Amino acid sequence: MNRQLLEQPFTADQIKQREGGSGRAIDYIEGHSVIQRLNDAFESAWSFEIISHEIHQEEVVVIGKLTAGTLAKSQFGSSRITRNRDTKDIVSLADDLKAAATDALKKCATLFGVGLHMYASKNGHGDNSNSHGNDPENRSGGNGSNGNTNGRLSSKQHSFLMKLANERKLTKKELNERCVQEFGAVADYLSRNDAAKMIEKMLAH
Amino acid sequence: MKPNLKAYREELHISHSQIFTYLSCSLKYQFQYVEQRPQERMSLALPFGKAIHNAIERYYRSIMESGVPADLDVISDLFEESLTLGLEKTPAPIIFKQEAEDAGSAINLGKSMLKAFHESVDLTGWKVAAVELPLAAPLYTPDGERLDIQLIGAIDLLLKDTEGRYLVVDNKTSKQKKTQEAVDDDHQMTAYSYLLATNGYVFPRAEVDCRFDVLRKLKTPTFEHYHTSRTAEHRKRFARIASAVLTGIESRLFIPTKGWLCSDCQYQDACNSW
Repeated sequence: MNRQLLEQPFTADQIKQREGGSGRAIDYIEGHSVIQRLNDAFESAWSFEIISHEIHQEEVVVIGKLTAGTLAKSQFGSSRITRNRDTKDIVSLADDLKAAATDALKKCATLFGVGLHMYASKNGHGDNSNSHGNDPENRSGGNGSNGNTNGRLSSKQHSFLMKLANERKLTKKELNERCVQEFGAVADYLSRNDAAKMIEKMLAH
Repeated sequence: MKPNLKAYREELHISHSQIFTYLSCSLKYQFQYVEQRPQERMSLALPFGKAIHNAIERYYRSIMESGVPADLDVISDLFEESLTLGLEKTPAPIIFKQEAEDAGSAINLGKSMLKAFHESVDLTGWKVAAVELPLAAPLYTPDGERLDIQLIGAIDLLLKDTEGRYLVVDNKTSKQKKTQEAVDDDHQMTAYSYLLATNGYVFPRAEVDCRFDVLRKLKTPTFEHYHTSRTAEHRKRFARIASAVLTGIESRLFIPTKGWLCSDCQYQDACNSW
């Protein structure tokens, strides 16, 4: 792995912008730029798989896993379902899922260091995809908007944790006890990183 | 099927009482909500207030469902049952105070308070629109960004007058009289007003009438009304406070705050050893 290359800042022409929900400009990196960076840093020796996907009323959510050598990073990705303006019929669920997969890939790549400079330069801290994420399609995950390096878990992480606990016949109380034991907070108050770790642990068992 | 408060609690949320706890003592918030530590002790006021609440809820629910109020005997029995069960279920030692030094005197006090309620309650000109109405609403940052956490709450009683205007009622028990300043500044009513406005019960810019119905824990109990109202400006300010509280929680900002609530705090030992 070439870490220096992974974390190398993107050039101005690679950073795109679009308007966010509250009228602010959101920076993001296009999927092909991220793929190019992964190819360069890992010499194409990486793989990406979708662990699971869910189709909701208005959006699709996937969990992607990016593996390079012995390291693997998992993250959520989502995309709003595109509907015909007049008939409200779904245009192409496959395309929506592909967009969510790209979103997840970009998020996983961030965990390897790709595009990290975009967070640091904007809020002076680190990870806060709430307001300055590199993906304009996924901005609803934040909670306190304080620029904290490791903010509270997103509602998507929370829902997924609850789903995993349910599938594993764990009561909320039991899940909370595990979370407190390992991270010092019940599930609802885990940080994003701790929630991701907990999800990985539960997926592994 | 209508959503209930339990379903809302399954999602990431914050309630008025959580906001109140955080603003009163954020370290208590950490012990109670973030770590969910077992309580070291419990003030009688909590199970007592809950039992009175259950009894009054039955009274209004009976009117809403059948048009006939529940008898005093019915609500008194329900109170006694609720309090006894509440005291039995509490694993922590109960702190009794002068106004009720044991379970027996607490039951007697509660029954005399309910008698005062039953004799004084007057719904002339009002229709019971809802009892224990569960509501949820999104919260936003000051610059309009939607947060991932919902405000939730259950309104004790929603009354409607003949012109269709709502009155939010919250039932309280208290030994002390409330000041109008405290009533006007209370975040609970602003939270309810926010929930009603966001859920379309009132127009977004409407002023919402509110009332605290307070049953006083006195030798001769009284049932008192404290009127107030909440405007869109109050709601806007409340949303900022809620957002700031969430930021504090996310930043793990938990600091002990010395105050009048300390004497009844369930986490005094944990606080002292913090």
